[in-house]
Amino acid sequence: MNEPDSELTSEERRLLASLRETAPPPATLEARSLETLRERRLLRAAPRPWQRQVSVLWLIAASVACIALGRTLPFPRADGPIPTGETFMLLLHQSETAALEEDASLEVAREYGEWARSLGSAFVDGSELDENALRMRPSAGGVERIRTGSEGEHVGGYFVVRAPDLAAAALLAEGCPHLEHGWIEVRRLVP
Amino acid sequence: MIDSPDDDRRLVAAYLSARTDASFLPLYRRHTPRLYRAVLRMAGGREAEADEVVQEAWTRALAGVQGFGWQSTFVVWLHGIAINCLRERRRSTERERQLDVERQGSLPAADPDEGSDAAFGEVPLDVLEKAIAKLPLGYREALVLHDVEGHTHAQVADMLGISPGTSKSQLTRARRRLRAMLEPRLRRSGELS
Repeated sequence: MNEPDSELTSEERRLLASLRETAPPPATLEARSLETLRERRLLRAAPRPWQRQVSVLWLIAASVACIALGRTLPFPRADGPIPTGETFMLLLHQSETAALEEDASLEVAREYGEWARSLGSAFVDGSELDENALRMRPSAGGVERIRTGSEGEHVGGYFVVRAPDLAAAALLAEGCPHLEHGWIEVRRLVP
Repeated sequence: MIDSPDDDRRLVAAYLSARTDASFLPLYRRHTPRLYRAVLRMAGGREAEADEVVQEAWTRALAGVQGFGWQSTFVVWLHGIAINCLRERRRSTERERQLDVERQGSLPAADPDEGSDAAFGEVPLDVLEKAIAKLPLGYREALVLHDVEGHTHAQVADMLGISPGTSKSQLTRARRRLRAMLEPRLRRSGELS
């Protein structure tokens, strides 16, 4: 990386560069840095066990509310190392929106939420999609808008996951409870 | 490897999307060893100060990273923040000025513009470290960032907020001053006749 410089001898250059192998950060610096960043609210505090429980309860309650209101549902993320690899979208197709009783809706939301949490740091994002949608396509007079809904086959939601390759992403999708209600299309996001 | 902008973009995006320890640590561990080393040497070897500056630099970096435009690399931006932290501390306490005065007593008598061309390739590392710590601040910054850490003059200039030409002239003077400080030791050890 150094630009050519004739002023240093090769021995001097080697000696100065060897200083890169010395002076590592103190062992406790990382923990203290994280603590400082949490205090400044630049990192989220690690949830305690009872907070995780509350989080799950919140998810279930939010799922029911979101289904009732037709809103999208963000799933919580899990801590852990960031998986290397690529990003995939799991498109959740379904033939029609099932009319579920409240108890059944709650159970479905719980299953989807638990599956999302089970992915750990492979989970990136996920949401239910509102049934009220517009399909836009060119027409003679400009752009035609076709209102679509829950009738017929449609995409009812999605998950975004990280996985080494398509086969690994498909393995993750195999465990998704959506396969009991429809089918999943796995697509790699082109960087 | 460490300067790969794509990797840094990915790591920054991961932090911004989750803001958890797990999402931040890969970015932190990638840059902190190099940052700490540079700050420690620019701080004249004062570990407590380097420790605090690195923590403050990460705090400012995370607070501002969403607005970081990627006009420079992440490593240049982060080092620039740390250098500003170091300078602010120095200005507010005038510690550096006092220490420079104190150091005059132990420095070899050398005119600020005086230098040497005697190479120092064989001195022990601890002696070299002490000599670097005694360099005037501007010289020390240029030498640490360029000759020790391997940044280019363009990167050093960005980090220090100076022109590449100034970076080069500071480095030339730093090397000559370093040789002048080490020359008496080399004479004692018989490496210079």
